[in-house]
Amino acid sequence: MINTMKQRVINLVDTMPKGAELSWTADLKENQFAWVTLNEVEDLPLFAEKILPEGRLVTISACNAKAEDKKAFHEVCYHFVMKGMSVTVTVLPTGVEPTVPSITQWHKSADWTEREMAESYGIIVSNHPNPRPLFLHETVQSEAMERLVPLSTMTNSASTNSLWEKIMGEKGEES
Amino acid sequence: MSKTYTIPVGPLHVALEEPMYFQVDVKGEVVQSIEMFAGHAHRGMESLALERNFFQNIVLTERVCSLCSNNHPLTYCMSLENIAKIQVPERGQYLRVIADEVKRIASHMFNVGIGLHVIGFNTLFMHAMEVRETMQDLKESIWGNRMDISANTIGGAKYDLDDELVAYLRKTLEELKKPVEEFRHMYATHPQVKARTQGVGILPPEAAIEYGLGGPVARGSGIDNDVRKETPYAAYDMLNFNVVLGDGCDVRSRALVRLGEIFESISLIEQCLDQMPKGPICCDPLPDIPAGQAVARSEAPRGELIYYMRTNGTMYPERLKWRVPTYVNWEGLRVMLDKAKVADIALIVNSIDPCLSCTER
Repeated sequence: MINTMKQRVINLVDTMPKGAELSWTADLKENQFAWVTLNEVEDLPLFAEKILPEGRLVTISACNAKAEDKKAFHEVCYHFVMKGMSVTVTVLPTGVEPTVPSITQWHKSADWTEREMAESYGIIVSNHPNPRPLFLHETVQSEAMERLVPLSTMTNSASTNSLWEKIMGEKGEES
Repeated sequence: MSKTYTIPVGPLHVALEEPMYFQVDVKGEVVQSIEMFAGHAHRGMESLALERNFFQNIVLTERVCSLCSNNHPLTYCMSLENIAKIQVPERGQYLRVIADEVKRIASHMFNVGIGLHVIGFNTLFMHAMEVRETMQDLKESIWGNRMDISANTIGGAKYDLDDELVAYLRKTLEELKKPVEEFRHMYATHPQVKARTQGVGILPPEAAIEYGLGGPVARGSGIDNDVRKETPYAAYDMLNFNVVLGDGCDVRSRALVRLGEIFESISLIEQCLDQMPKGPICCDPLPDIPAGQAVARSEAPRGELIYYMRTNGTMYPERLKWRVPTYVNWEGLRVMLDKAKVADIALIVNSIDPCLSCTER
């Protein structure tokens, strides 16, 4: 089974129009891990479609790009599993407004994790069927994982009294 | 009766374990569609993890969730062991399975028990909690805590079992079998339980695959997806066990899968006690953790748990991301709640064994 899945990944990588790199690792139990890097983010929907039906999306991790990657601020890693074999596909969302295409139409499990990535990192997910924030309220400033919040700001209004004064102040009333 | 009304369920609801807001469109008593609003338990733990070193993160990850608390540090440690090629001693691998399966028994009893509480069968709910209490006592006796048991560390286990504890563990498991069997029989045959759970919250296998659902939720619809078999870790490749599947695709099927898994867990722990060799419990000394990346997966009580770790040669993770079983199972509720009765909403939500602490981190 694993050899069949490995061959599927090899064939899949070969069919990417803009090209892709593939490497393999294994843990000490001989479980196999495929690491795919797509040369261009526009090939992602094709990969997501073709990895079906054996492959399913497990999650998506946005990360700071490696120091040697000068093309983008972020890398986005798509973690698939094919019959127990892990396949991680990495893309670089480039451009002034870093954008990745949504793959929710092929993998429904991508819905929440794409929305979480968008609200945490400010990476735009194009063509998402339900692009509202996932966890953070709409009044919360976006890109939560990207901002440095000084401790003094974070603890401001932490005590009941100052919180009360702040709320009443915003309402224009004396506390 | 053609008009559709919108009713709120949650975020603080008497029958929901944790805060989630469901906006439910109903026509009469029948659910037409739902929308979910999360974020009430968001703690920013992925960001906190980047501020802590590898050992401090064992403590942090154990606090993601109380019911799956053992699987989080276990899978976290596995991701680092994959990067640094750390060999966990065989005894340590068995000890990891024992801790995992004890937690699984307690978690499954809790979920099935709460389901009974939701349908108003409090006598059987109390019975479930009494059986579960046996495992809580066991955890307190062996690990000194009832929920967060600190059983794992990088490279192995953080606890050991002497002859006295092994005898105590064997005796407790033996005493557990009869009450669990009685409980399962009662759950499977009681007409009131059957009437409230059979044919309720239907999840066809095709939908389970389409939504990428995991754990006992998918196994209750016949999807064979147990990570312990699919991608062996710890000592699972040295043990015999069956993946429990159900074909009812409903609340009842999911509960019976969980109850069936308890017997597999008891068997797994007994096999560990029989086969566990003497020797070290942890790799010592540990090598440096080099720069790299790894994925690690395990089967938590609620289903597949995955950790993605990226290191840069320092003592701190460059990125640590985890996805918990409930995270994907929420969307499956759209299928399970479709055309359900309003009175069954809380019961169906409970049947996915929901965890907001996990989901939102």
